[in-house]
Amino acid sequence: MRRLRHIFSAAMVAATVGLPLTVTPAEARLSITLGSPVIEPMPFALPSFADEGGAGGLAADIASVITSDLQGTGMFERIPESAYIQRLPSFDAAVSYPDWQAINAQALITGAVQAGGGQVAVKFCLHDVFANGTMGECMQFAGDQASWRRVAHKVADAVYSRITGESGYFDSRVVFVAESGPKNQRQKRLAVMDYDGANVSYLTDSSSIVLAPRFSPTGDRILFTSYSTGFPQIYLMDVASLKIRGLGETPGTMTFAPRFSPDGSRVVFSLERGGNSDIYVLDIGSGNLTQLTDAPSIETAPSFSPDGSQIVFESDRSGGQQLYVMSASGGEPRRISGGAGRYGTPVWSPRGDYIAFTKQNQGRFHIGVMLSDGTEEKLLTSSYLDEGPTWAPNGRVIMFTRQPPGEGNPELWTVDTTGRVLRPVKNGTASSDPAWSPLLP
Amino acid sequence: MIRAASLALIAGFVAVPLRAEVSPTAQTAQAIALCWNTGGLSQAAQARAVTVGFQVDYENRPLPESVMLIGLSDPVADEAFAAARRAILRCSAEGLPLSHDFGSGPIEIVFDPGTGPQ
Repeated sequence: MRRLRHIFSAAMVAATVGLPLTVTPAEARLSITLGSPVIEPMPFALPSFADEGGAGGLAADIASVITSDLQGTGMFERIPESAYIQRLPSFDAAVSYPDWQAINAQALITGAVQAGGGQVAVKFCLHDVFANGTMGECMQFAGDQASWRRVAHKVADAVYSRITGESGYFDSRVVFVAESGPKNQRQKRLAVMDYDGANVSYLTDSSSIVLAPRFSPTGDRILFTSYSTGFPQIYLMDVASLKIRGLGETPGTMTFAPRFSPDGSRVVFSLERGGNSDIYVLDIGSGNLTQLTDAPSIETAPSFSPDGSQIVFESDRSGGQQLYVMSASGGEPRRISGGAGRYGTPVWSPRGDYIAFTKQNQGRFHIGVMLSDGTEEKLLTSSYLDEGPTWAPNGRVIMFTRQPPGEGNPELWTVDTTGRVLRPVKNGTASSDPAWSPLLP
Repeated sequence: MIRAASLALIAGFVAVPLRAEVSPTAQTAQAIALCWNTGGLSQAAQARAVTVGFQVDYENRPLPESVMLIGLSDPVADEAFAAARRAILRCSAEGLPLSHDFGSGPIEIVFDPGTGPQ
């Protein structure tokens, strides 16, 4: 709901009657227009969290994860603790805002940790230093002590959300393909990790090659492609039980590149029959299969728009690999990519505005974004081999696979939609084909 | 050039170029612009123009409680306003270079990322 917060009488009148907001020279002592903001990380202070019992080193660990989350966005920069003027002996100590203003801290995060009985609780306040008060209510998150990193991510998500007005993405997971062994005899397993590369665990063994895992919209199921029968076939895994079942099995066909519909009830994927690939949609509950494209070319990598009304996919129907958008019920697609080079692996942003893609042009690979009508194409990365974008839950960051030339292992990297913040995800294993989960509940 | 360098060497001073006098308004704008950082805002807020009004004390320092958003408030405008307020309060702690010629009314600044360099 829009609120009217205002002061000066002339502007108040203008606002309430819907007129342009102007203040006459007689009223304003000085009127200035500024047009070029600085865009650099916002400095924030995060003093050591207080130990309110049993926390020990956990207080520092939690503060470290919060700092890493916020700084990793490229939007925030922690001021070193050595610069702090005020020492806060306890969570309830009064904040001396001038002391934090003096070191140019624009936000201050104070907190305390309590641990015991296998539980951990973190309470925190976010202060707007130049407004001399807190931004919203102070909060507390609690959970199993073993899940302390999740609690820290929750705090960071809350801070990020309050400052930026956008939802966060730190308390999320990524499913990916973990690779091992020599390149000509690669073993590939499904694995899952925290978004920042911590807590890697494996979901499948290495008995068969797996590809293209995708989380369901609620994060409780994973689609993937496996060669366990000798040819590609899509499977559905229940994350809690790790039970797996085949989907859309049709004799004499190969199925691959699956993705969930936004409501999780359907799967869109490619089905190859007689050497030709088209796009199909499968209703998981009823098993009904519907063909959406019918062309002699290769149609693959389909991805729903977040409202479920459209599907973007790649096709070589025009001779080269390009991106197309069609209605979710099928029909004539329209080409949206128009630049030089080949386009593939399109993924619709959870915000619905952008489509991320892989582009190959003049021997280089790029991760890029374009609006869903194909305009405003922007290449965010450039390297020997970048591919397979996946969106963070808030649609501001993209994770992808980067393969170095030679014998180097593939790695996961992230880039934000401005292209300014590019960094590797350190998870300690050769990794490819990431898919981001929704925010965890 | 040679003359200036020679003079500087003779006098033991470094020659500096002459500059046009900067008006108090431009000085105020420059001071606050240096602190207007939108790097921590959402993309929507980074593009939002807001108008902010405030009063100053007798030393031309903004009164923190007087800094207010002029116009309708919504979450994006509030975010843009918070960055503008920080800019005003951070970069004018020593007082703004205002003249009494400007009268005694409020000061109004339009923070409009779309208008380019000022």
